Amino acid sequence: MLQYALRRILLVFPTLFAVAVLVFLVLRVVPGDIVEIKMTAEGGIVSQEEIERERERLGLNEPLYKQFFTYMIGLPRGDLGVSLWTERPVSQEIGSRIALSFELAILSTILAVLIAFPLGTLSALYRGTVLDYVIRIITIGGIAVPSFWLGMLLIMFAITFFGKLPPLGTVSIFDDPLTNLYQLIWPALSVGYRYSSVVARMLRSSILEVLSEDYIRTARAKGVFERLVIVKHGMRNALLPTVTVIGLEFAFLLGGLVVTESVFNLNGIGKLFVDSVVRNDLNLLQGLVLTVATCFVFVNLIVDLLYAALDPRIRYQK
Amino acid sequence: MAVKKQNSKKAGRTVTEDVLLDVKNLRVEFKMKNGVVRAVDDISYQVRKGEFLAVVGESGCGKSVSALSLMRLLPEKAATITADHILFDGIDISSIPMSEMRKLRGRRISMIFQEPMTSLNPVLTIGDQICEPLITHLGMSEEQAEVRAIELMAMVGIPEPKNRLPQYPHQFSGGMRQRVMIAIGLACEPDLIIADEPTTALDVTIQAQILELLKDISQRLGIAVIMITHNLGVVAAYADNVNVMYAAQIIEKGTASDIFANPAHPYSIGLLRSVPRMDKPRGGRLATIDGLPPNLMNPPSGCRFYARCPMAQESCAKTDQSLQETKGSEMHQTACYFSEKALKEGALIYETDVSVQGSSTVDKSGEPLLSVSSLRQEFSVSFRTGWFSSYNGSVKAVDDVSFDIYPGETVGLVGESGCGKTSVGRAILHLNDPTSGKIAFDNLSINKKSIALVRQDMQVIFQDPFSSLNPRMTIGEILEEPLKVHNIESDPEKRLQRISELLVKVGLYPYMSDRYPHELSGGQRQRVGIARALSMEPKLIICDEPVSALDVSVQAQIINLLEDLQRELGIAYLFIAHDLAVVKHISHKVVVMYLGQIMEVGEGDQLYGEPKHPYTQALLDAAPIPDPEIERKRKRSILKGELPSPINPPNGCVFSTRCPKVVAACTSGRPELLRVGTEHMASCVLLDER
Amino acid sequence: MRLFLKAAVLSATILGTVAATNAYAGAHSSCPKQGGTLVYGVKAEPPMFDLHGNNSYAVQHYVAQHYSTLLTFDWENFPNMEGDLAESWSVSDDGLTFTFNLHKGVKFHDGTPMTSADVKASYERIQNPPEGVASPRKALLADISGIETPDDHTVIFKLSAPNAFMEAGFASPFNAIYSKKDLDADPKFPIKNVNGTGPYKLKEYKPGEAWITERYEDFHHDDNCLDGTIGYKISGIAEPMLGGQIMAEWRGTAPAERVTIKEGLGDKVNLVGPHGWMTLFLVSLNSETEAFKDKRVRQALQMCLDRNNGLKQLAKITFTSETPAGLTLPGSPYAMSPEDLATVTGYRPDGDSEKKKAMAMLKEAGYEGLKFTYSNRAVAHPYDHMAIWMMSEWKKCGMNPEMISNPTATFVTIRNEGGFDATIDWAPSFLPDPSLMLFKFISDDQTGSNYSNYIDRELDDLYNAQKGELDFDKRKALSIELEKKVLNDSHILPVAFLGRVLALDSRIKGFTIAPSHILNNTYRGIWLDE
Repeated sequence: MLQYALRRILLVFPTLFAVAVLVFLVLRVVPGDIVEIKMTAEGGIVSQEEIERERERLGLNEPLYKQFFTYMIGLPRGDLGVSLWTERPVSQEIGSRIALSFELAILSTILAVLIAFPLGTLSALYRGTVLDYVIRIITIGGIAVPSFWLGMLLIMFAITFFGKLPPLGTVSIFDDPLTNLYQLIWPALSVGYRYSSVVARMLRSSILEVLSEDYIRTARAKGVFERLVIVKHGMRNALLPTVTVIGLEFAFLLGGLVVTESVFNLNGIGKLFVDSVVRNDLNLLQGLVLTVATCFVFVNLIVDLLYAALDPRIRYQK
Repeated sequence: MAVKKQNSKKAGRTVTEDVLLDVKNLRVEFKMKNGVVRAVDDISYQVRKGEFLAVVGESGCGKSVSALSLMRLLPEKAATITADHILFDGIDISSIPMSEMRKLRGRRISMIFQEPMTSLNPVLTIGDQICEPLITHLGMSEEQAEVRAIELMAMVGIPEPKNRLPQYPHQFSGGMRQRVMIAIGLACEPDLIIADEPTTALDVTIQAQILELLKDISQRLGIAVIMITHNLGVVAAYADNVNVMYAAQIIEKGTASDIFANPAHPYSIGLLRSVPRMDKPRGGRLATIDGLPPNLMNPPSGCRFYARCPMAQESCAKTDQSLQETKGSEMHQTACYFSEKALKEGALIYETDVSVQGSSTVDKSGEPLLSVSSLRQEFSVSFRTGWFSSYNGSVKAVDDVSFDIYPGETVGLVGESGCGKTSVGRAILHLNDPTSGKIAFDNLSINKKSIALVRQDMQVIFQDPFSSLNPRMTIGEILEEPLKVHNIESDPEKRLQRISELLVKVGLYPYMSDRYPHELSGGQRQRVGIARALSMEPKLIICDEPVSALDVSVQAQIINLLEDLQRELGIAYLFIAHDLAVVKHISHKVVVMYLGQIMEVGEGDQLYGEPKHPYTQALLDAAPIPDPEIERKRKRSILKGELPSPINPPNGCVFSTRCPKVVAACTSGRPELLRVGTEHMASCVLLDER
Repeated sequence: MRLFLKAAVLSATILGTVAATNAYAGAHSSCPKQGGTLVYGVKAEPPMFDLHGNNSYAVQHYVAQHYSTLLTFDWENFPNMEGDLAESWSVSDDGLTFTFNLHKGVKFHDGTPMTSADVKASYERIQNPPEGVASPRKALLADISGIETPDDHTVIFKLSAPNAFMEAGFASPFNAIYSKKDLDADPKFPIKNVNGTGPYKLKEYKPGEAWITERYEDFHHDDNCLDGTIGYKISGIAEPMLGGQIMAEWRGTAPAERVTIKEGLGDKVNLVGPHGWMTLFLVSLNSETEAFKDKRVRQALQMCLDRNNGLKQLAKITFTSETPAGLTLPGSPYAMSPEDLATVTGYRPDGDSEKKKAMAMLKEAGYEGLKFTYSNRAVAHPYDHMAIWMMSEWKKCGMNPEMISNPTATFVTIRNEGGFDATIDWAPSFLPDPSLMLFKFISDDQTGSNYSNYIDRELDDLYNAQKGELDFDKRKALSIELEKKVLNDSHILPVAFLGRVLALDSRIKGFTIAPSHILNNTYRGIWLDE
């Protein structure tokens, strides 16, 4: 187990190295440069000489290979450079925001699982009944409705029915859990609905598939209680594909909360992503892509390990 | 499950003391989108304590459904079950509530299913699955259940039961899994075991092991067995009594000896006649039953066998005969107006085509059509063997195999699954590139490039006719495609003409060219597969298990067709199959393979009559012959153990680990293939010493 | 707009005679109510805290409240000036000497007393930025030849030449006074730190999220009425307003947003404005494009834009002003009168006949059905709306413009490198002074932001002349001459100034809207009626 995990983790590094190289090169191809935006896009009267001075200062006039070299030797030390916009270390910029994104992703996952498991199970067990159709309509809705749009609906809902939105500004869950949850529940719902729909549909179809398996018939022929047939023999097998979906969705969320975070004014890395793209803050973008890639790789790793824990066929492949 | 009681009339038969199960007028209906299918139509039978009852019949005749309905395991929404009664030990299991039924399941009635590979839950340990009924029904603690589980595993012949208890199904072979299923079935010492095709998915040697085990244990413990099978050999070997089912009805029942020796229903007679016999010399055509069983959604009135029956009279189409005592024996009952005539005339009611004489002879004076020498096929494999380790290496699927096929000759290739017979076929076709060896076809050495030159002359027929036909193309389009691609016939008019001829040639009708594959039966689809191969006018057809998915009567039709085509067109066949009787029937020469190597080669009669290799002997021993008289006299020596892993084959003779005649010399080196007669060679050290 | 007009007319006379000692101590004397926290939203994120070193309005909205400038404006009578750190000031008759008397007892937030040395150090930093410090507006102070500090509370600025803009420059919100002690320790100190003499002290900054301040008890005026302020980074205005998350946003709202907010909140919100907003949107024609080398073609493009009718429609759907404008903010002291403007190419009343004339000119020049690319910034308000209007106007004249929209970064690069025929462009000013508002339109080698890249020494001469002219009327005449020449040459096609409307929580009192979002961001005088 340990060795398998270690090997998987070691494999992460060449992957991330490739990502780093790719990101560096691709971003340099994109036209536009932060200095222009920083000095002139917002207006004001700036001389060309000042713009050049600023470029010089930020090291953007260095030859590409030199920039690449500086970037690459910084990486192993965890040095992602400084944001070209704020000139604070990239790691600091990301570090101050990633906790929120993580929390939102985790909260959405919890919410999604809480919604998806009963829905998916009921839908499968009462297949073809009104209940099944209702649940299926709900889940199709979740997949069809973009989460940012649902987010906007939720905001309008909160404004109309509560007359107010949660206060702005992140409150740590450790300092004030209630306010924190109050702030995150709407975005978590807007993301979680879609998320739960994907999971519920997966769960429904895998339960249905599993329930038609021969071993379920075997279990019934043994005289096992029906509840036990479904929970012990059915659910665990049905969970396998579902866990994969949950993991992939979670990993996707870490980089994919871009719009939701903007809609709800949450200061997470999704919004930072948008901002850094708008500002052409290459250093920050590089750092963000690397961070998200790292998260993605590790979440996949965790899913694999979880999968192995659930499925003995993977654990002892012969 | 909604079980409706029919108006119960007094049962005609007196129920004797030892009757365990009494089924009266069981009927199962499935609601489909476009109608109701009556899958079981008013069947009645009894099973006595300790009796071994076989239910035989072709697929779709309702034998599995009737068994599942006894356990009330059919999906409740789709299936409606009605019966006058189903008395199990005095309890009417057709009317008790589901909660009561659950208490019987696994406790007093157990079931063993066809697919050992999928019938066990992959994520639960073997121990857990064996213990489950013990804990559920007998209220044992986990520790007690485990002790009992180990006993059970030992009883069904699973070595090292204690160590295997915490293992998972995927760590067990198919045969071992079926043993586990039997252990589960036996766990609570039930009164009745229903075995639904328990050995169909298994190799013949493993089949023999499992059936012997089942027979032995049920006799020892006095458990009654209902075994559902289509294998008449198995029936002959093990059953006390037989129910023959046809189109949802029991058309004949009786003791095994009665049914095999004196079949009184034309269908039973036809069924028995159409099975190729390993114990009879290679002869002429197999008897066949023409046509197909009726559609159960809209069955014809009168006798359901009417359309296919050689002695049918007009009256048969109007009303059908219920089961009547035959020859005054209460035990032997037949549902036919003319059972007496059938009984008397037996096989003669089917016209045998005497004009087509025997098998074709092969001219071996010229060059062989296909010459395979020292063929090797290795596959590299790589997988994890545990949390910490992995294996990288190669498997020798085919190891130094040589044989020739002459024009117009049929060479049979037999062996258990995993012996490499399919790999040989694929290597010849270059579907896999052979690792080494020479393949010459029509004096042309075949390699990756030159295979294209002979593709037309070398065609293939696969086991599963459905998956090898594109479901989105009509039969006509399927047959037209190769004609177009290979530019055999450029004129579209003539192409259509050609397709019609092909369809007629394989026994189909020209109008079928507009149909899609799913509209045809399995046998018809296999005929399409043959027609497609024939369209290229090949010199050789490689047949990879062409009949193993088909029912006995259809199998006979296809075998006859292949033989007819050979006589007519002089085509040679490489016939790959696991069914020894079929191979013997069709082949001039038989090659027996084991773990990628040839064990024995010879003319069919000679090889089956005087097998020289212990493996061939064991194979023949394991295969049951559909004749209870012979089966009862046979002294079988059942091959122990299972096929070793091809990754790590035994040293020396690969068969040495299972060979009953093993000697020290066996492990020292690979024995040569020695000539033991004209056209007869075997690879065994014992022959060498002689 | 009406409000501003009145103020402008009033101030025009005052500004003209201002060359005398001024002794305003600040118009705001006290707060009707003390306390409360002002919560507002900012749609941008400040790249740094240094007011000297960048143009971002986010810095103004967050940071301006921490600093003081020498002078500031009387917002109710804009552009009249009053003292901030200066208790009084005077200008010599030749306009070459400015003398400021500073308030006594002013302290920085860290307790250091503020003296004339701090003023000198701050202005020298702007004028001559040390290594690692940016100063985009240093050219505006180029005429300062020396700064003298005879004592702790007197600062004297010596100019090398008369400069009509100079006085307003001392009220520029960018020219904050830093502590010399901080700058001596590290000239880059203000980039990442805040230490000023302004009404509110920085309490905490959460990057990307919030800027939290508290009242500075020792502020040298008494109009810091709030306990503190919180600025939140927001992405839209409507939802946070409706949801009670913020009370104000200081940049400006789009028409649709205003409606949503007003409908949702009714009396709880006040819409302040529309007020002229000193950002001029314009189209720069590339002087390298062959067709545009012909003045008739450029003028045809100018004439096809029927500003008298089109801007009214445009103002309804986006936040542009409906008043046709040249290069200076209409109604501001130096702007052309509407009657005067109506005689200029592109501003004449009969739009249809102008279009006909334009088509005739195109034909004459041999560019009938002219094809050209129009580079647009891919932002909905007001860029898309303006572009759609102009495209349709040009098409009515038989031209075939092709619009290429790009995100900001790419757009800026294209504009900079000349990869366009016509591009949307803008001239933001923070003061209604010709030296600022016309600077963009002089020769390419004199200004950094002339994206037409033309050279016209006549314009440069006019610009320098107005800059050195201290007499208001004469300066205005020079300024208008320059403006008319630019419009007539038609390298530049003005579209419209913006119309600024703020949505403010009705509890907010004591705020006066200014003609730029860069101005009046110290939150002085604002109190909450809770």
